[in-house]
Amino acid sequence: MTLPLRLLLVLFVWALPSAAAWAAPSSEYEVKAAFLFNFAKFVEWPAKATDKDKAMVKLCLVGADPFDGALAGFENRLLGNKRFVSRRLKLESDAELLACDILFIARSEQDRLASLLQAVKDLPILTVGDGEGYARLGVMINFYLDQGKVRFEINPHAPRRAGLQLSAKLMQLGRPVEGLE
Amino acid sequence: MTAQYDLRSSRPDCPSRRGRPFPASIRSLAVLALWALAAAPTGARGAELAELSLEQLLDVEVHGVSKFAQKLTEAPASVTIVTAADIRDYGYRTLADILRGVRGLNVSYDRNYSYLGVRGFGRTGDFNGRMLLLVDGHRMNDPVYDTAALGTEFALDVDLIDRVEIVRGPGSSIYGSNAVFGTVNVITRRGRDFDGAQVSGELASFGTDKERLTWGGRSDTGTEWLVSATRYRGDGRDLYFPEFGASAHDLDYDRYDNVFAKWSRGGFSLAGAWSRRDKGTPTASFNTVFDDPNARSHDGNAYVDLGYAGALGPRWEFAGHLAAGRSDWSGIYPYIYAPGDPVTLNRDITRASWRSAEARLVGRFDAHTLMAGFDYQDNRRQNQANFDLDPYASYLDDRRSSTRAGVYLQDEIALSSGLILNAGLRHDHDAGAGDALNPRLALIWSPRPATTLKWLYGTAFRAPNAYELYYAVDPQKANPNLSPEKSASYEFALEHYLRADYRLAASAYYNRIENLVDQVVDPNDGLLVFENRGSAVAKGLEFELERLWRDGTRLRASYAWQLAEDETGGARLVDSPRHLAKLNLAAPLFAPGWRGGLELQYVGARKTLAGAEAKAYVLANVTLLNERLSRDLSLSASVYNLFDRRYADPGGPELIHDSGVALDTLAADGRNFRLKATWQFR
Repeated sequence: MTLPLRLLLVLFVWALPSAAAWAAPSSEYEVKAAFLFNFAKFVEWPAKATDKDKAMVKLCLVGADPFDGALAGFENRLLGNKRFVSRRLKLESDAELLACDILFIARSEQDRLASLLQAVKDLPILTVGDGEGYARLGVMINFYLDQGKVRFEINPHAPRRAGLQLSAKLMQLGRPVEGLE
Repeated sequence: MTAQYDLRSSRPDCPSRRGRPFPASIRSLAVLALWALAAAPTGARGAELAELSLEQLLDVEVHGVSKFAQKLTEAPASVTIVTAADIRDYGYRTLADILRGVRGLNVSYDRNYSYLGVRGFGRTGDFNGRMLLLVDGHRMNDPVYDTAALGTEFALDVDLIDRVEIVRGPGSSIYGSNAVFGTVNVITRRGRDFDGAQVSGELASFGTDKERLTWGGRSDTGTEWLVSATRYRGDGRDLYFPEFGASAHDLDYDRYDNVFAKWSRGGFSLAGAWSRRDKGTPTASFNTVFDDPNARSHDGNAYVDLGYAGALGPRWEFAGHLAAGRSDWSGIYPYIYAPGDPVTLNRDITRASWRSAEARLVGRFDAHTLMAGFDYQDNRRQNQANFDLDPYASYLDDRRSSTRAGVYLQDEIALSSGLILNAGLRHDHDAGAGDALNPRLALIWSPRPATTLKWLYGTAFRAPNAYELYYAVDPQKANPNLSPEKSASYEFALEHYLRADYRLAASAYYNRIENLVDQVVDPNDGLLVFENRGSAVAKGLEFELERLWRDGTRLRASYAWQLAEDETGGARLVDSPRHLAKLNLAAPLFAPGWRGGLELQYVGARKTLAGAEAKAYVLANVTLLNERLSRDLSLSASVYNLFDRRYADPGGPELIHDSGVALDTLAADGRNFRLKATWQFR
């Protein structure tokens, strides 16, 4: 009888938050931000995209920003010899898209997803979506949640058309989705 | 108490452990547990998310969508949720396995059915009729025995469960009959959770294999579907019963098949389940011949449920269900009626079928959330029969039907910021048992966002079932004049979040049940009969802590002290442990993708029917799994009863023979294994 109690007591003490408190629990968008940063390691952009700043990997956000500052921790971090930077697009003109390497399309953009995809159709931009069914509609990588964990699905046709090479590892970890190019 | 009921003296293979309270296995278990605990969370402690690889990121549990996100703190009850992740990490095989891990619950198994005790109250030999079991809101308790099936006879494969909500305390103010000690609500996984086909195969000890085939998905138009079929075959083993001084051969087999399907589109849903199970009866229950190869029982269940849910304007929501179900039960009982006679096979049959309708309206106004509803059930058949096969002789052919209906109203009132009053009332009319009125009152106060205090009061009832009312085969007679059992419960609960990922809960309760339907001997004719006799009181204290780590480590530990006594005699209730302690720890291990689950359960000593004691025990189960061995393959391996602890559950009255032989306790399985592989096809 006393052993389980003793065990529980030990556990209780052990599990108490220590003075050097742990970081706050991961929020969904902290994890998604880390994914976005990581994706860049597994994508090869075509060499001929010459009009881009070769010293940067630039993440562009369209739609309502769900990150709440979670991307700040990745700002200017090095990916090889490139810096990871992010900025939000106002999208007053499609020309803003030209400088992007990764385009994050927020859940709020469901209604104009088709026109956005049309605008980046032939550009070497990795599109990452955050809405149900986005991958089927032509977004290359799309986040979803499964039992409290962030997962992603991949539309394999879309990157091919844009001339992007997704590494085998990325393809293996994502759930393949048959969808539009 | 006689020696033959004493486990220690009657089992030659089980030496007394008196004086050695902690065998070496337990000590090493403690060391192992502490080591695992100390080692588990450090990996993620300092680790920045940025440093994690893609694989590691896939393992990070996101709080805010996990169980902590559920507004459990506002529920007018103490609620525990077991998720699909728990089912995987702890290798749960049945609903009974799931419930064993929950605070304040204990489950006994008599090699045929599993019996649940909630907060010290459980009755050996009843079929969990004082607990309401729902699958996606569909009532599973049948109208003859009130059975809530928890073991292999449960209609659903646990792999299809998204979560199980265990709501302690009375639920009759919403659900009516049966929701006396608790409500267990099973919610199934969605078609999109499978997104393609899944094939799963299991191999386990005692010649057991299980196969499951599932196909699910969701179309762009919003149609969602899930179809799943399971086949399970277990040979069991030859069980030695020291009371008989012999083994029951090939009688512990357990075979089941079940099919579950559901479809939804827009607000409409259609679900159906079908199951059958055949179980050998090794215990010679009900005075039958020991070790006769024909002894067995059969459970069959099926239902369809059509639902609609939708908004009626900006303030009101509507939900409605139409359902039909049936349950078939039969048992083969080998008897030798007189010395020298051959074995006569006796068959006991139950056939039940029913239709039901329910509707619920929920309206949201400034400070009020109103809920009003009604339900109606037409029990078209509640038939029971008993006869000998050869030579044919009929002893019972009872055909019944009945109806029951209920209306209820509940208002959740936000009295001020952080203070909620939940008041509900339900009126039931049962064609046989008459009327019942059951209130619930809950005051939920959050003085600070991290702290919630609850004062809960409610009553509940259980209408006597057709078996108790009408079953009459010598030596048992019917009693159609039974009235409902009634209970009243008081609870004070505290929940406190030390941090967003660290929860503490404590609860004190007092439950009283009266008019208990007990089987007694009528002194006038010596026959067994059910009568509204007893009353019992259960009171207790529960403590629980739950902690999540960002690397996906989860810990839940609980302790329950419970005292359940028969008021008439002041005696402790049978199969009611004074102490229960549980520990569940799941953590990532070695490399990305690998996880381990450790489960420890302490069940205190329980009184048996004969007044002896089923000894306290500690049980350890471990599971090792990899959910992404390759993209489409996941594997898990479990060891149950890791230290091969010998323990036994109290048996029910049907295991006491006229000859004087009684299976007062039933030995549980020793160390056993399961291997499971699941392939995903997309």
